[in-house]
Formats: sequence, C-alpha cells, structure tokens
Amino acid sequence: MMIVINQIKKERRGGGNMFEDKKVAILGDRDGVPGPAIEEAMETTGADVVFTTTECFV
Amino acid sequence: MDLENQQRIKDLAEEHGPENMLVILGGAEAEASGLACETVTNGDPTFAGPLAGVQLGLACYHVMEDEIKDAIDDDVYEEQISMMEMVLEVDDIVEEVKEYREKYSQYTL
Repeated sequence: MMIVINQIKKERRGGGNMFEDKKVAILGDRDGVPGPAIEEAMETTGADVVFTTTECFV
Repeated sequence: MDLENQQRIKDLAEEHGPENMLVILGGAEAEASGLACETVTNGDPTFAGPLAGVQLGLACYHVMEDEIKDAIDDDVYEEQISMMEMVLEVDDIVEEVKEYREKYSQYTL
C-alpha cells in the first residue's frame, strides 16, 4: 500500500524529481528533529545531502 | 545560528551555487526556526557571524512543511520524523519559516 502511495506522490510531482539536482544542507535540532533523521528522510527524495548538523537552537 | 555552521553554509553556497542549494531545518520551536531561515536567506540578524550582511537568499524549508514531507518516502517519514510531529507546534513553525522564506528567499524548489 505504501509503495502505491509513494508512486502516486511521484506521479503527482510530474514523474520528475525536483530534488534531484539540489545540494541539501541540514540544520537539525537536538530538541526537535535531529540532523541524521532528516538526512535519512531527505535521501529518499533523491537529493544530494552535502552537510548535516544537529544544533541546539535555543 | 551557530557561527561555525554559518560559515559552512556560506562555503557550500559558494561551492555549489546558491541556486542549487536547499536548507532543511528540524527546529523544535517557531521563533528559532524562523531565525535560522532568516539567517540563510537575509543574513545573520544578530550581526555576529559570517553571514552578517550576506543575503544568500537560499531556499529554506522546515522538514515538516508539505513541500518536503510529501516528497519523502512515507515509511521513512513515519519512522524518522512523525514522532516529533506529534509533539511540536507544527503550524506555528511552518508559518514562521514560510514568512521568512517568502520575504527573503531568492530561490525556490
């Protein structure tokens, strides 16, 4: 089911991938979403993650 | 935003071109997330770091914004992000980041 949903999402985006050519810098938050969690998620978009960190935002 | 990270963002924008960069935030709180977005778009508002007066105009989103969330594999989002989505004030965070992005970002997805 999830595979189907992901396929539909991809088709809605026009089949192309707007993240493909992007270089992604991730500023995670120790009290929010940590950098490595965002990195793992962003890698599924086809984006190229070039920097990941986890800050204490406050 | 951490001064060392400001320098890294500045260097990466020079290396890859600001039009090719995308900054993703994971901030837990609206004001701090907005501040980080402001820093990578309009420069460091505290004028303390390397991005003081540097208007990179980068595309900047919080990971919980629909444009990003919808692109992430559902299973991975569920596993890595959704737990925090339940405890954070997502609407406030999204509104704040969006405000600065719309005001200062020169590039989009």
